[in-house]
Amino acid sequence: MNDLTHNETTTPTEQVADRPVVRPAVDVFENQDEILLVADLPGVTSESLSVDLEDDRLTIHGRRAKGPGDDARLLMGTDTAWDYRRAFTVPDAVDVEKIKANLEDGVLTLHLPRHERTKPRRIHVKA
Amino acid sequence: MWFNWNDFDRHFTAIDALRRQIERGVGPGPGRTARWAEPTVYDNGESYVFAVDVPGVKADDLTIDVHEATITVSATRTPTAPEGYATQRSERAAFEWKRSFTLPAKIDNEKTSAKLEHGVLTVTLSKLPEAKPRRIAIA
Repeated sequence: MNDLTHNETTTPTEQVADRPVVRPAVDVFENQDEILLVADLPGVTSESLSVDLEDDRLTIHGRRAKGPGDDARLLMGTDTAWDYRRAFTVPDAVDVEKIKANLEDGVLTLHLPRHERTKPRRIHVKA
Repeated sequence: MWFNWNDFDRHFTAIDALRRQIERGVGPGPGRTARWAEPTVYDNGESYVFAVDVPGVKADDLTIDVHEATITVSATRTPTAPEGYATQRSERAAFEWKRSFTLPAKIDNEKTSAKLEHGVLTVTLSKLPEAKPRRIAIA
């Protein structure tokens, strides 16, 4: 039931462009109401980020830009821009219509609420 | 004379460069989880531009000190599980990071600026006038 937290679909495909692809570090939390996914995506803006849901496959894809420009000389570090990409299988219990995403300080927070009908409930036993 | 400290320095520099290349080779790539990023420093003539990834770090948790040609940056982050949630996956590391970098020229303290945008800290360090490149006109 809890695919998002246990199984992960990786992308075995290779990129055409010579642009490294990095798996962002992800935290997953859950409670009775929702699953919460938190991903580090530094340098990614809301314009360069896409969160796609196709069937039960949730893909996070963020592009980050290169350094400050061509006339600048690199003294330290790497000059390459890279993509963040990671895919997850969303469990059936998630109400895909109500998924909410928020990007702040380079951190993406995805709220995946559970369907009302799949929420655990306690049945009162009458005496 | 074969015994020359410069030769030693050169070899150590070469070893460092090799180590960095190896790390880069096993760095960002398909199927690998991003690590705490290596900062980048650019020289654009007038100034140096220092940038480092600090996702989720607020301005209050960052300090930048500049002294002559040295910049010291520290950043702390402690991601915690929100109240009432169970943790299923925990990859986003906490960090307490402090590093100093010596730049090739002295910095004008008055003209240093820093911004924190989309989880990236960028510090622009103006060179002191005597360190700026100049073109000599031939009379």
